[in-house]
Amino acid sequence: MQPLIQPFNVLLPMLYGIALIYYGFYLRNGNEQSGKWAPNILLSALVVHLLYFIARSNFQYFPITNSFDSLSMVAFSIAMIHLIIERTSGEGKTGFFFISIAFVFQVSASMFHVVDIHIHELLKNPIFGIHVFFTLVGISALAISAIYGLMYWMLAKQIKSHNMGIIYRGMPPLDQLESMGRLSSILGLVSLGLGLIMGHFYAYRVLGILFPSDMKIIINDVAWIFYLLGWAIVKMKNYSGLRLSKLAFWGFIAYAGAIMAANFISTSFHQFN
Amino acid sequence: MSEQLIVIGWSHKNAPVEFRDKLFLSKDEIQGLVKEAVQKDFIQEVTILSTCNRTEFYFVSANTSPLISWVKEWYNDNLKRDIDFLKCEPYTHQGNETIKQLFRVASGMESMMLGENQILSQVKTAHEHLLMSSSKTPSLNQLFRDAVSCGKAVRTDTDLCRGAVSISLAAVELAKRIYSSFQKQKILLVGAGESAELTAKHFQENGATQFIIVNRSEERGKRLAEKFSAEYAKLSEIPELLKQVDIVVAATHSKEYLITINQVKQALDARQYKNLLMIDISTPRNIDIEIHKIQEVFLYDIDHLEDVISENLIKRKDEIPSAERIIKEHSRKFISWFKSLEVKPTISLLTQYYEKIRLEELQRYEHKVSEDEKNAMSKLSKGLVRKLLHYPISHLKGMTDGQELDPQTIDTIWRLYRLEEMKDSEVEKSE
Repeated sequence: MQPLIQPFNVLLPMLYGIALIYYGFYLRNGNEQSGKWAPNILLSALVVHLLYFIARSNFQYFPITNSFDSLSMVAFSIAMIHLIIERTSGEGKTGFFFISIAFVFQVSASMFHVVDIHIHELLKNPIFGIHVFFTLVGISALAISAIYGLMYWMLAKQIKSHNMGIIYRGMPPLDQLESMGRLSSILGLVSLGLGLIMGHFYAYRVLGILFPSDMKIIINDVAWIFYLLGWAIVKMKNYSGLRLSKLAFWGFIAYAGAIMAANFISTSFHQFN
Repeated sequence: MSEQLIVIGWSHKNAPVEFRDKLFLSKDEIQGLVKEAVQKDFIQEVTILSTCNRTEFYFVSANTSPLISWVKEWYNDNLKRDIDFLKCEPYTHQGNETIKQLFRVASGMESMMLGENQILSQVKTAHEHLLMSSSKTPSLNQLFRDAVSCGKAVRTDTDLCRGAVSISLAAVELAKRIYSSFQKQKILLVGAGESAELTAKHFQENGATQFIIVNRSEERGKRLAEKFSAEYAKLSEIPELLKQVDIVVAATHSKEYLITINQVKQALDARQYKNLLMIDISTPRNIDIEIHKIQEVFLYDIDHLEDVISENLIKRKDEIPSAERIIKEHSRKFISWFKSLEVKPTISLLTQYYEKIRLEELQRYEHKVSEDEKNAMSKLSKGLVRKLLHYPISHLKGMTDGQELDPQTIDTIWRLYRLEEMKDSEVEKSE
């Protein structure tokens, strides 16, 4: 399967790039044809990306063998979540922002693609693979939710300051940005939850401990509980608006900051074998 | 021949509003004028486009000189309007400029507010009047039909007519940046005057269904409430209403603030910090400007809405070159059609001319040859005429399509073949 990889490394950035151009036209001119084509091209990119993962896995291991494979997986997650949100809400004008992130990640992954890979034993376990996949998708979805929060904040600021700039003209209305952010955070919550459950299950199988005393695992668990509580409070109190968008944004910043700090302090992550 | 298309008009560009008011013509007056105009030998076709911003007379006429004085006389003698035309002379355009003028008008390019939409329906109405009139107006009929389709194309293919350019529409456009739909939004209208009604109408047209009207005069407020199937409330109820509404539009002449910062602050908790759009189109303002400091409130006054309008106008101006291209293309098509009107009778008369010669020549040999020879000669002459005519006819048709046909060419053909005589003899025969 490995000889098939090289064409994918050219094709994937190309497809994401084309989708990005269409989303750009749609954002700039509101051109309906571009708005129609962009998600279809993105869907093709996702299908090709899935085929790439299959080829990369050789049907033997989960295809995240190094940091650049992880970047590719994050690009896939971001694009997939955006497409789900776009199809659900019928609003694609934010696509440009998310697909540009996916594009940059995929270009980096394709450019620095590692041919000689060392397959860690962990990657051969399907439970571990599912855990990694759901966790990455979950974190990506929460990041997207934070970006929606930021977009909301920026648009609200423009409307409030009577500034009719490109964000004012190009963005969907505030209430739609909010519902897209909500959907993204629900996707993140569910996916990260599944990822964490699978992780704990795997830890129990390997180490016989359900909750290993790993700082990053603790941070992720705590963050997930905070997200769940936050979501429940917002739902119960029917909160909306600028305060909610700021919460989504700063919440994720705190989460990402904590993971980075834990990465810096502890190097024991996933040292199961 | 397209030189026979003439427009004589007054618009906001060359006449003040009081002058334009005097020129305005009702449907009945237009019909009366058309009836009388077709009796004149110098007018072949006529129609009028009369709106609050322009009155334009479109003619098909071979003799242009008496038209202006005829129009002026008609106003003063028939309608007894007593207009001093020396104060405002009309603009006149002829030929292709007439076509361009109407297409520009229908596209909103000549409107006081660039890209205005109402003018297209006014051109459509003028076209309908034209179709209803008893006189035959094939050229103007086609001209107005093409003008309508040109106006539609400009509106579909460019952004010339997009973006609000009135205060009430700008308010709706602004609200659309916050709410994707107005179906579930509650709108509080403070005031029941013309501005409030117009704003409510625009919100309703965009899907709003839930209105609450607050007005000092109960009678007036309830009347407006009834119009929009809305609730009526007293001014004193505003603090309570602020807890439940999503949009507030204030449009009164009150000299004091009707909504204060404290009222909004007190409502915030009950509103669960939901967004609140407040639009103050009153002069003087009725919403405390300090409210702007509350982060959940988006407060816009009339000056801010004017800025929205200016932005939209700039965007519309950027679309002028695209609109001009569409107008040019539609004008080209119309000119081509118009020229084909001229070519068709020329081709027909030219064919008759050759046919006449062919039959005359055959007649000369009628008794000198056998029946078989006669048939052979007939076949031969028919083929000969067909071949002789092939190039001139296809050339004429080609010139029409390629925009190269000028009246001079047609005139030369008519002179060379004496087609005028041919036409006269045909008329005599038919009589």
